[in-house]
Amino acid sequence: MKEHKVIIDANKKGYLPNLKEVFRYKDLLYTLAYRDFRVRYAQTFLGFLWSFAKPLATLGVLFIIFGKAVKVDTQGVPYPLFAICGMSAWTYFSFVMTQAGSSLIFSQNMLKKIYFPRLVIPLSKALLGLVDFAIVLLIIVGLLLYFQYTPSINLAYLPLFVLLAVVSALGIGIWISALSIRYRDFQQITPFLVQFGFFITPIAYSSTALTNNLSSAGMLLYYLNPAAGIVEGFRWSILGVGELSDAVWISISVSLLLFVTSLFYFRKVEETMADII
Amino acid sequence: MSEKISIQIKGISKRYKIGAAKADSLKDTISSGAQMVLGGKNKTEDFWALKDISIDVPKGKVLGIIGKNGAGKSTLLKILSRITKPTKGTVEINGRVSSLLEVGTGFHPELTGRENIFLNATILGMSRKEVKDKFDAIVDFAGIGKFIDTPVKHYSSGMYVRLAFSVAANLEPEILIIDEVLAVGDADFQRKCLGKMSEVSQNEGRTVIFVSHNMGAIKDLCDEVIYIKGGEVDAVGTAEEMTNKYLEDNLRKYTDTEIEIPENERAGNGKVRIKSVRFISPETKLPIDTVFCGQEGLIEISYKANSPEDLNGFDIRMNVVDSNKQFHSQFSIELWGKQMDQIPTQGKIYCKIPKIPFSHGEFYLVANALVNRELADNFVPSRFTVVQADFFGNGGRKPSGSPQGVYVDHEWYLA
Repeated sequence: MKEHKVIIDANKKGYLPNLKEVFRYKDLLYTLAYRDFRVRYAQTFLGFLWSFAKPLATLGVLFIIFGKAVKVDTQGVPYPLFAICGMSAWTYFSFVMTQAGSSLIFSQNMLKKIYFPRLVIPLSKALLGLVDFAIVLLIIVGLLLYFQYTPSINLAYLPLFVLLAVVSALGIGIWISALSIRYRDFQQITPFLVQFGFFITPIAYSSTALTNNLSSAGMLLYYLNPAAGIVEGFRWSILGVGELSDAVWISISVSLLLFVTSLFYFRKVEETMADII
Repeated sequence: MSEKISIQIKGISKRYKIGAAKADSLKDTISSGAQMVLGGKNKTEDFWALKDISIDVPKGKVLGIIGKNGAGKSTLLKILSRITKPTKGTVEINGRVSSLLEVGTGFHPELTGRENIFLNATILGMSRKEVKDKFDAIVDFAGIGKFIDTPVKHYSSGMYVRLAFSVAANLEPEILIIDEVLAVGDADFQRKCLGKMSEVSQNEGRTVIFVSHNMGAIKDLCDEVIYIKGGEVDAVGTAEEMTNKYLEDNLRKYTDTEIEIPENERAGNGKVRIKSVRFISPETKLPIDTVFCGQEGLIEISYKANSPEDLNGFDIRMNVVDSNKQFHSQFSIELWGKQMDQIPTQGKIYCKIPKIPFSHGEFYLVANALVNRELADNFVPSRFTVVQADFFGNGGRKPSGSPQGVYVDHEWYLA
């Protein structure tokens, strides 16, 4: 075994995110995600079927309200297919944001008892969210077959948008998790973000409906929401409808900015976490 | 630095801010920030949990850390295991550290034993491959065999600890930190763990840091013991010296005088409160702290009840234990089996022991007051020393042998 040496110095402060250490604990990341996955449906009768039931139920409601009653413009795409593409991104995004945001508070027992790079905890939620995401993808494939809809060539870009969803959801989640160590107020904020986010993101409707009615300043504001660009990107790459507006770059930049700054802030509070939480 | 040192602690201090926890919401931070700008005074207070601690721990040694609750033992361990950062000073650690977690910390009740081994071990910094390699050894040592695929919520607390200890001990860390967890688990397993710990340190040259209130285990295991008092190193020495000093310090104040224990530190429903428990001399009736094996003993208990009604069904129950909390005997009015009439609401009650059966060394009287078999009060242990003497009254051999225990009168005959 190679020599392992650690120096703890009260006067030394770390500023750079210690990603090397996180990588060393990558198996913990995997195990934590596995634990959450296993535990989620423990002692439920339907078990894993819940993962199918939840998105299908949401989809049903959206279909009745926005597909049948309100009839939003989907540029010729069958409504269920239109909605589920938006939902797939949003469900992942909101899940990771919420779970990562509250993850440190929920693991405080562990934080107070043992050392490991704390970043592993919120990161593991991104991995966990991919399970639900894969299920929604299966539903999408099912619907594509049912409506005999051929996906566009843009599909090649989908992995990029998935990565963007991971990065942006983690960015917000890590910020909230680190802030709520000291200020529990931030725990109250996530449900609002999820609730408002559902409406200010083009999930159930198409963003073209807004482009025509909003000023350019309004559009800028709209795309400051990282989820807006990501949802748009998902729909564009799977269904190939419409054109990706330049405004998507705003969402992408916001995502990256949130993620990078969250890593630095997390590093700043990491060392004192166990004392404050 | 020499290769022989596994942990070098230099001038470690740790400050906590008392009252700082209040700044738990944004509102508080904003208002205290405003206060500071306006020149108001800071309402937090500093508390130094550790003050300038310096220790070198040599490789392959078992270091014991003892001290009262709140002395700073846990803070020191937290710094060594990198959970929290010191306010001052440096620590140099050579080798991988693994700590035995408090029961349940690294476990999830819904997961099976197998899954929890992986969970716990990866939390401790192992890779899945390493766990796989050591899996059989871990299961073997924990002795949970066929329950390995049962969710741990169905485990007994003993099985829980066995599994947790087994994971930590089989990680083959260069440094193993054990904080007062072995209190749970049966005696057999405790012995096995202690055995494993000394094996780990002696044969494999690994370092063990062991914190415990069990002076017996400290004595058995540790090469060197550090006694921490009020956040400072009070003394360093052999296990024998330090455990004696510890017991000395903690029990001196309980002999002789009546003591007032604050109401919030007491257990029981409070119908009756015990004020003192002590041996007195049968002749002079003065308090004593040393008695002789085989001679008459007299225990005096002062008590006070709220009202005469509260004394219906009154009982005093005293357990005699040694410093390892090992039980030796019990005295109680109920065991005696006779009625006492007209017990005054306050006063003194005596328990006479015709012949003290305890062999030698230090014992403790742990007295409880009961009313109708419900706990009314629980008194601090009172220490007394037994001097080895002629129990069997034959003037001949004084019984000897190191373990403490109880003698019983007996006879022999041929059929």
